[in-house]
Amino acid sequence: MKIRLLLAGALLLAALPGFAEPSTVDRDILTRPLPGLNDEELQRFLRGRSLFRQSWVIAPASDTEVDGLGPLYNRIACISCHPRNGRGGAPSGPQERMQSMLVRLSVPGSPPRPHPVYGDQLNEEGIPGVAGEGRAEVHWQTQNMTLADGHVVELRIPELRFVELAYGNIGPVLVSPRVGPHVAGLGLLNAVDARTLAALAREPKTDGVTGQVNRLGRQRLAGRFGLKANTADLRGQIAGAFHGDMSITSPLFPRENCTPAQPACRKAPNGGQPELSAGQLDDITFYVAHLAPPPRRNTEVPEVKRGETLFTAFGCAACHRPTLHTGKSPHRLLDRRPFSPYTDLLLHDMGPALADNRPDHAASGRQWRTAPLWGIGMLAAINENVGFLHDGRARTIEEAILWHGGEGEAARRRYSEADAATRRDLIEFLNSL
Amino acid sequence: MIDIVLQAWGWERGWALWSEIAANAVLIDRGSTFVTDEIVAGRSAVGISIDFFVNSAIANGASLDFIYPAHTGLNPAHIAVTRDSGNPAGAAAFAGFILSPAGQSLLTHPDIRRLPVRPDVYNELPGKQYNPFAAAANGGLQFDSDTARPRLATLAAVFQQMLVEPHDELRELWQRVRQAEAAGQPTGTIRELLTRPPLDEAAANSPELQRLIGLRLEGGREAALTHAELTWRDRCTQQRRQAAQLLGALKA
Ligand code: HEC
Ligand code: HEC
Repeated sequence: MKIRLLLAGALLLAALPGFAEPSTVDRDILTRPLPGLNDEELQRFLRGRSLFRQSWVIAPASDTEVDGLGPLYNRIACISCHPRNGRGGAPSGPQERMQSMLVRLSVPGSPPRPHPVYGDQLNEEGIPGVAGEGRAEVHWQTQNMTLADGHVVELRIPELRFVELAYGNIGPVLVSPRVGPHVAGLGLLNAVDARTLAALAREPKTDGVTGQVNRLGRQRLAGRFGLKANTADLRGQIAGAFHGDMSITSPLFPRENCTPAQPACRKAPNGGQPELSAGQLDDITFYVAHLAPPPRRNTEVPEVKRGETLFTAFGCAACHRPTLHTGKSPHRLLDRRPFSPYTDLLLHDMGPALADNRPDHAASGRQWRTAPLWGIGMLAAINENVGFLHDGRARTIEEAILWHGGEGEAARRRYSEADAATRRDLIEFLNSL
Repeated sequence: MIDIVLQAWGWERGWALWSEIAANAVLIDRGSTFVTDEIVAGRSAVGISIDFFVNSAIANGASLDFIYPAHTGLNPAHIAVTRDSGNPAGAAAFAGFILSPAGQSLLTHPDIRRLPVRPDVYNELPGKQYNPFAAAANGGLQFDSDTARPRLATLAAVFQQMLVEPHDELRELWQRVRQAEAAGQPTGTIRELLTRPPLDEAAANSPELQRLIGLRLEGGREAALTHAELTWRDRCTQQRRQAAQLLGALKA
């Protein structure tokens, strides 16, 4: 029997009284649809939302639409790592598990070759009867950075240690720890034309900034998603997340995420073939694609206005492009329009301190995709354990800026040489995004 | 939820209340919109929900209010250490923490907003917080779980046949009832037909019937209707048909 919920009082209201306490922060800001969806599209969006929030269960289960978790997995839901579609964070120390973070693994080669035993991602959890692969502990070292005016900022650097490994010694391996990024506005990024990206990469820039499109496979598709832009489109990214993070098979990844060295994993029951149907994959892709970018806030505040000018003057906008345009898209609301992600989707050498030394397609071990800065000012309110930069090492926006090196070095230097009021203006601008 | 009303109002009056609420309601499917979204968007004025869904939405910025009814029930969560736990000491320590004042205070986090089980924790919370211990002392939590538990699936099945399946038809009939009443016409018999449940309380409490209906909970497989449900369906259909005839005679 389909149980339905009851919503009483379908009255037409001219104006609805607002009861929210004015001080309450809107922590659902990253969960809203792009304005302009029609009823049918909205239903699809809501179906996708349910899948994004769904806690997947182990097969076989009475609810056959959402079973098939594991055999090996990291977390049971997309929102575990993308809480309220916001940013994850890193554990505060080795005694804490990774809650919204994962560790990519590979052995040298390009594209990254999976580790023969542990695959391309450490899956900490296993269903009953299948041992989870083990745990990656995060140990923090700290160092102080003194800015030109004497202000001291403590930075922390993660060091990973594998423990409780269930399938034997891991041996030499390339690792890349990453926290879940926020996911609003991604349909727009998905719709940026590959030629636009190539043109951005060719544009001459100052400060030694370059910018490179990640190129994938024989077709040399332009990469857009993932922190090294190693995935061309949103559907592929999402199917990859189902597969890599939860071992949920889909039309794009029909086989369970088990290596030959994991017999129990290979023998475990599955939740259908595939576990995620093409229709479900379409719905959740539609949802993620049509999440509205967070609206700007406080744009008229003087600090914010000054900060916006500084953002360009410091050279931040060379990579964190304020405006991009989408190309042709089959989706009406994503088709040929300007938007403001504060990224160029290109790879930049960010210096040795941020390097993971794990090349990924055309991306070197020192390159990262420019992080989109839209919504960044809301992330700490959405997740109090938020971590900035790829591995969540930065606890504040300021720490994130101070980690910039390589092509970002000149911009970082301008920030650290500025006086306190100027720095505050820049941060206030970032908080308004 | 259905039984909270039935227990507080009595079987006949309770179903009558549900009938009128349902006739004025929009039904939403699992996995679609949220009650809170519908109200924030202004598509409905009032919704029926479980407190923490709404309280969490409010704590996250939704422009809403939540009112605990004078009569309500609690559905307590459980915590236990499994018999074969690999780490019983760790599990017991965790359970101990969850039940401690610090652990229970975490339940008031905007993402959770469940009711702490410790009376002492309420002293530390802002005054607006609903306190089930105070509500119980005022007699608002007289819910009899022992009666409710075995008939849960039965009531859901009655609700389905009586109010959900014919929902569109019921909405229309009730609109006509209200028009007739606004015109000063007598509708006592019609109301009686539209609000009478297809079985009495003793029947709903019978263990044979409960076994027949089985345990059909949310997310379970679709099962064929039992003969009991088919009988209810027919009885409700007949009552609606009679009501429609009487309304026709009133020219409403
Ligand atoms: C274990 C944590 C974890 C889980 C669970 C998880 N993600 Fe992610 N997600 C990440 C991380 C880390 C990245 C960055 C990946 C990379 O750099 O390769 C990411 C990236 C993404 C991106 C690309 C964002 C961008 O800016 O490029 C999307 C879209 C996404 N995830 C969707 C999902 C969906 C859908 C699910 C559920 C099926 C999911 N994620 C489950 C951690 C997670
Ligand atoms: C050379 C290109 C480049 C320049 C210039 C640059 N950034 Fe970045 N920025 C990046 C990249 C790439 C990352 C992601 C690095 C990582 O994850 O390790 C990033 C990350 C960030 C983050 C963290 C975002 C997040 O969500 O974790 C912030 C904040 C930031 N940049 C602000 C700035 C500011 C402010 C400036 C100017 C002072 C600036 N950036 C200049 C490329 C650049």
